[in-house]
Amino acid sequence: MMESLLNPQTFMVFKVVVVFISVLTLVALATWAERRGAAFIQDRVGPNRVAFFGKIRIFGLGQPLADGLKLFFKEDLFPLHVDRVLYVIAPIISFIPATMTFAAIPFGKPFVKDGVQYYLSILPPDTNIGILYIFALAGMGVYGIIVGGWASNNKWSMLGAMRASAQVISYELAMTLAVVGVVLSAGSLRLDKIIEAQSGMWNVVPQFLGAIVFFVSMFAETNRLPFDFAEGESEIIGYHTEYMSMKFSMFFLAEYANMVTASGLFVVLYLGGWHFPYLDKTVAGSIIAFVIKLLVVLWSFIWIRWTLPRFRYDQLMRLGWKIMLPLSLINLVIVALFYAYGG
Amino acid sequence: MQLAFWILSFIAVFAAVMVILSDRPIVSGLFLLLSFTAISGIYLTLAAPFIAAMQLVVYAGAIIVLFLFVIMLLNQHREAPSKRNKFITFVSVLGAILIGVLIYISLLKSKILLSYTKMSAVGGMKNNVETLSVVMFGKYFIPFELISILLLAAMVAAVFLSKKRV
Amino acid sequence: MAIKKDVKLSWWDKLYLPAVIKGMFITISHFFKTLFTPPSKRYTIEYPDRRKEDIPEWYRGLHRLNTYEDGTLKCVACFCCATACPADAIYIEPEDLEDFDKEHPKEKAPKVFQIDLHRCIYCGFCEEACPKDAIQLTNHYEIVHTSREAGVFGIEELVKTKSEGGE
Repeated sequence: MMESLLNPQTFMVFKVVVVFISVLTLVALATWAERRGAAFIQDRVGPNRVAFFGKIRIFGLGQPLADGLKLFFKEDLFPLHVDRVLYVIAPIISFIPATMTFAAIPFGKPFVKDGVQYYLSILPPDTNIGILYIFALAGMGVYGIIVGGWASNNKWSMLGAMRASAQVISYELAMTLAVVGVVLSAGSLRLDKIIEAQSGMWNVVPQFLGAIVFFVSMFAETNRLPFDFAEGESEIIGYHTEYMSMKFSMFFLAEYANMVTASGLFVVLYLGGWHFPYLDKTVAGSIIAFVIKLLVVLWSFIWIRWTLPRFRYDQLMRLGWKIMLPLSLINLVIVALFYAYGG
Repeated sequence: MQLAFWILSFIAVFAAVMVILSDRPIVSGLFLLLSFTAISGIYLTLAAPFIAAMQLVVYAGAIIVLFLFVIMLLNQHREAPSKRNKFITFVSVLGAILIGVLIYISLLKSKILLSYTKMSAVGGMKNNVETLSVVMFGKYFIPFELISILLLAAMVAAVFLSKKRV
Repeated sequence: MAIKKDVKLSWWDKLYLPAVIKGMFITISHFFKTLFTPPSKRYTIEYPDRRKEDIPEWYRGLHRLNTYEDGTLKCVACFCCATACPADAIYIEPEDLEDFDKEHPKEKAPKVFQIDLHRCIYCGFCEEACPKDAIQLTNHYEIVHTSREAGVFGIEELVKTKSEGGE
């Protein structure tokens, strides 16, 4: 029964459905983990009272469900002063790339069945642009913020959007340069080749500088604290001040989906993807290894958010241009010299 | 592929026209973004995913963000409708059409279109990047480096100009 | 006004990462501390499931009208509490009594003694003003009503008020 179902077409559909659902589930879990984790870090209890059928509480895991339902059924108003078309488009622009980027990430070991190669990533990796696909789409995500901030016709929202655009430009450079080091060491832009090249040693060891730069830029790219200038929820007002109900929840989902994708990308680029001693012998084991690593990185997002205060804006710019960019260049030069003369 | 090309090129041209017609600078910038995205889609239909991704990363991801940033910095919400001379408008539209037709005719006569059929054979979907880098760092190495020096000079000049005291 | 301080950082401080990692260890230690503390020992008391056991006796909660052992009210309807009340929450209708032959002779007693618990600010002035120790704020803190009328407590309700825990 199962054997006959396994052919390239059904496998593709299966992959798309499973990945889409599991990413969105991870997003929901991340919101829950964020709130509970924040509470525990601050010696509080956090949301734990949402119960199914009034009885089954399971640590408040129903909270994201309840929040989602609340946001979906809230009244959806148009503030009078907004630009209506752009106001509606903005959350869509930010949501679509966020959910599309995970498609390129290989989440398990490829396997051969009946002479057919099956890859465990939605996009076939042989299009040869793997990592560029992710960067191209991640670059589009910021337009959601810019358009949203501008369409709100609110000066504070627009300032938030401006901060976001300046921040994204300055950190994308350092991030890309850090990744060039990884691409050099793997000799390919394909993400599966990059993972293969790490079967001996994970990239985080030889390219420690690059890993740090990528890790920091990751926070800036996903607009998470210490770099959440776009949103600035606690004191400076952000781009989605004028948004509510469904449209706000799309921005919200996009932020967490970006977190999931960024964690996946960090695992693939620096933590050896699905490689793990003894665990990556089987396909299922490799998927488990990947998911565990992804969850660890995802947790670090939450952990750092509740540890560090926000940077000041000039500090952010100085860090981006004067520290991160030179560091990633140094990393690139070291890797290039190593592969030109040493390797 | 034929249908995709027509749809994408229609979007690209429509967006390009709207860039000019829109009276709000931000909307113009967003239409430019749409145009670039559609062009990147056209590259994909030409089996050049690397160029498509680069189009998105460089133009859509960086340059338009800069444009929008500057527009928002200037805070120009709506352009004042300028008083145009009808005759000048007519003449300039005519001139644009004429130039377009001339370019089209010269393209038809030239050999670039003939080499188009060879191009996809060289590129292909599989080793796009390798082919491109071999051409860039082999055959066209000197022009490539010259362009990068030119860009560097422009960058230094821009920094020099924007700095008040040196 | 911002005060600019010139702080010299050593190169170790300028790396920032050690300090960040130190901070992260502090937060994660709190995380695990809370995670492994059983709910009964956390700072937060999850109210309907658990209740605070040791409400102090001086807590100012629901009022009680004290009585003598035989059940007569201590209150003599002197209006001291109603006068002292800053929120004007106490309403008293007195009645004249002629019961000097009883164990606790009184000239007057309240026919109606109402405290509007929605007006009351639980300041305890009534308790201080009372010359007979007849009104007292207990540490009973669950004061819930579903209508404004239900929030007006009369003599019968106020006599029945119990304190929390041992007293």
